[in-house]
Amino acid sequence: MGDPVFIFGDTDAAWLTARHLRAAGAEVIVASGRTPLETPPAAGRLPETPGVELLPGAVPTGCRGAAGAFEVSLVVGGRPITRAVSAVVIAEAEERLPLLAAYGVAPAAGVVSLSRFGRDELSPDAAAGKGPQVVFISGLFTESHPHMAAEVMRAALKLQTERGVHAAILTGNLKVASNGLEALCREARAAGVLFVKFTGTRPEIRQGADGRVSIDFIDELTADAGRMRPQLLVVDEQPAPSRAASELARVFGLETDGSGFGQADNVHRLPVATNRRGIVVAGGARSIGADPATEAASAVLEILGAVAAAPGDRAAIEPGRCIRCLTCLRVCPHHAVTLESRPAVAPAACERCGICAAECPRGAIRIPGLEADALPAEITPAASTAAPRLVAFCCSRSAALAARSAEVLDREALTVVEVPCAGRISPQMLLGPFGRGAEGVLVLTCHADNCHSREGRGFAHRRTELAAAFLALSGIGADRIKVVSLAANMASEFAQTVADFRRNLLTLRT
Amino acid sequence: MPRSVETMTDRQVLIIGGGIGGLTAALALAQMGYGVAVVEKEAALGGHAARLACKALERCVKCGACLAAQTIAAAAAHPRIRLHTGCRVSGIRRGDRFAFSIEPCAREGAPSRGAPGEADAVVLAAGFRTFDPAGTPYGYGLFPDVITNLELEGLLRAAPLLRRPSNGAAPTRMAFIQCVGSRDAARGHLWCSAFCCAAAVRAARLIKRRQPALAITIFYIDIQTFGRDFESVYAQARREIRFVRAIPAEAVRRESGGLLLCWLDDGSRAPVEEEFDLVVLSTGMTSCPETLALSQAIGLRLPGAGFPAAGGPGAGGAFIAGAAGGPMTIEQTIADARRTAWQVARFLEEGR
Ligand SMILES: Cc1cc2nc3c(=O)[nH]c(=O)nc-3n(C[C@H](O)[C@H](O)[C@H](O)COP(=O)(O)OP(=O)(O)OC[C@H]3O[C@@H](n4cnc5c(N)ncnc54)[C@H](O)[C@@H]3O)c2cc1C
Ligand code: SF4
Ligand code: SF4
Ligand code: SF4
Ligand code: SF4
Repeated sequence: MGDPVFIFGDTDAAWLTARHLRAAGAEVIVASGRTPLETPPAAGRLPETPGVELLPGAVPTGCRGAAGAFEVSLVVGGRPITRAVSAVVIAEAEERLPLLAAYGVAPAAGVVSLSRFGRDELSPDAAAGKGPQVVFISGLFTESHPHMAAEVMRAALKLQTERGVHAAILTGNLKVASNGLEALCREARAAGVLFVKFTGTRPEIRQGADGRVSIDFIDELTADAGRMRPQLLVVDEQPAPSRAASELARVFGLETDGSGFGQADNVHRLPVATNRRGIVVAGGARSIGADPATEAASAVLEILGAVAAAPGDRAAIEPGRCIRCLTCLRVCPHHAVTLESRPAVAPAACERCGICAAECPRGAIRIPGLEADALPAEITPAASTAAPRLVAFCCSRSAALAARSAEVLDREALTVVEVPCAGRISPQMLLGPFGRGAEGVLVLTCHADNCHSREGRGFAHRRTELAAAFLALSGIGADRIKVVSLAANMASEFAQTVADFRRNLLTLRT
Repeated sequence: MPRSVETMTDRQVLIIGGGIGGLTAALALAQMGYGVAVVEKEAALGGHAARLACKALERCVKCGACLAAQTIAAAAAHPRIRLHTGCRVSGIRRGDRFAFSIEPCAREGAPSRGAPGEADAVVLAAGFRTFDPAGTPYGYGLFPDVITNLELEGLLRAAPLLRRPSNGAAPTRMAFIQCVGSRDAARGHLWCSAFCCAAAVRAARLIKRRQPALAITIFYIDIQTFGRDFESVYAQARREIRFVRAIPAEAVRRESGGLLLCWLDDGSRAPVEEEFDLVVLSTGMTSCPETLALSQAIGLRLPGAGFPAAGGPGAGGAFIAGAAGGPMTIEQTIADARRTAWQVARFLEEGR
């Protein structure tokens, strides 16, 4: 790992990643939009020493290149600079959006959002007040998260035990699915914290002119009406990606999830990977509540893997055949196609999905071991069994794994062709087997949203439909080709799919 | 220069347990250049995650179960990982290194002969046990149509349509009972098992999609958040499935074969009775009895009963990974195993 690793964020996850990388002998650049960096050094911040460059007040504006050799451009203090880096870690903190409006209250002397709680003093007579004096709302009109529930329960327990202030927690589903929270909940209850849960009804929250609220509700357990008039109402918050993290995701060309975090909602990205090799997201840049030390360790492992020498079997463009249509640049989900004077594949970024090779109108892209004219290498000779001869193209991350453990009759009549991603399967590959004696072709892909190369599955499904239309026109029949989504753990469905398809093909024989 | 991939070393790590936690740690360590031996007591790798069904609807629902198959394939193909399935570790001792022997689990006809081994670090990744509901008042073991969530996974894997174990008929009213053996102070189980709300809601939605005529009820205490788009998933699920906030006190079998569940209605506090023909118990996680013995043998401190050791620092070359340390989902297990692998690497490089 020649060049330093670029880490963006002034968080525990960022600093722990920096520390781990230093321990492993790598140089680091830690940048953040903040000036100065605010995380206290005790939390793990590294001083500026040889091998550590700090860039406060930095705004990234671009990123070129591939794992092992990125060039990141930034504006620091109004001045544009660039840095050659081997990998990028985005470890910004998440934002927490207040939910006060959802509960119809406004910030006032008697109402605060959770992250501001503790900054305002309670009046000294709070401990003497009748009924709960501090009421927390956690996941009542919206669903919450264990991370937030933990904060609420700890705060309530502390009020109750250290200050003798009666606290209550109003909630819908209490989120305890994290280490120690069920025990914390019981401890809080035992200390006197009042938990009120709502299922079918909602409390009515009214805010008076003095800012304080009164809460009217029906206790669903006893059917009794109740009222609380706390000194302070504390409302939990909704996590969201920070503006900086969203901007970084855009600048770096990262997939995002439904709420804008810089990681697709796809299990193949777990825990910290993005669609780009060598760029990882950690901590609040990808989700909430993850343990910083766990995130940092995963980030470092991911980087060590990404900067290792790229294997020699990646896609390559034959300059003589390329007409520079830039289709490959457009379709590559991993930003592996770069454009200098002409398009080229950066081997360190290429995941070998084959989408580009299948889409290239000139057949100019070769991937060793995945040449269209060589797949499938062999189809079982005719008459070895009565079963129809089939070719099943299988994605290596899903259906191919199911195929290995599936109990299929007449295996010899089934030619399984494993491809790294279904995105490799070109129209030529789909039609080829029919000219070589196959009676049917199955295309077996992962499910939508489970594609390691995001679009590979979609391409495979669309191309199969086109091939079916072509087969219909040519008189061979659209029924001889079929595309099905099968996860890696669907072995029995694999066997069933093959059996059903064979049955169908047998009816076409007559 | 950091220790990157493909750097060879003679340092060896023993991993006890070949579930997704153990295999993920093994892959991370092997990638960093260490030699790894994985000892798995079962004949098959992958632990619980490899026994789960895919719950995808039109799209993947992100349960993570299919990652098990991929992880197994990657571990089996890695030249620096040796897999000992159907074996246990015995006589493990700590000296300068760890000494132990790997013995085949007693199988009929197979001679039990141990192979001696040594390692510089040990990772305990023995996972969890699902709570045994035999002692609960739901008639598990007596009524064939009362099954566990793990058994449901097996049924969903085996056949597309769900049938009643008692007579093979399609069920018409099905219930899930959540938190069986979890969040149960009377048993001293002061933990939420973290996976079972997600597993029940996803399974219920899949079954409902395949068998629309089947009415499904989920009895629960609190539905736990799962996935990145929980709010919309939960809203959708509530349109398809009935959620009842109560835990039935018992199941009684009718002569018809139906199962009568009774619970207290919220608000009126009146007892409600209703008949179901298939009941799934969402059994939670409990710790493996062997985990305690093994952790003592390798010098890992477990400061109490249950699952108190998650995320704890490893001591003197002994580490813990995955659900052996506390209830975890697959996603959390993968992240935790990688954290552990990194700790092991630091220990091997720096002796701490
Ligand atoms: C019904 C059910 C549904 C679930 N659904 C989901 C879901 O949808 N999503 C999700 O994220 N999680 C789900 N989970 C949770 C998931 O199974 C766990 O997160 C995961 O299995 C934990 O992995 P692990 O490797 O730590 O433990 P395990 O899977 O328990 O693996 C431990 C391994 O160690 C072996 N072992 C134990 N003791 C020894 C010993 N002494 N010597 C050698 N080997 C030993 C075991 O045989 C096993 O193979 C579900 C669990 C269940 C029961
Ligand atoms: S798709 Fe093919 S022809 Fe078009 S730019 Fe890429 S390599 Fe060249
Ligand atoms: S094979 Fe896939 S990852 Fe590689 S260049 Fe082509 S489209 Fe990009
Ligand atoms: S993550 Fe779960 S739902 Fe999605 S494909 Fe894998 S097994 Fe199926
Ligand atoms: S995940 Fe749900 S069912 Fe499982 S223990 Fe927690 S609250 Fe109960």
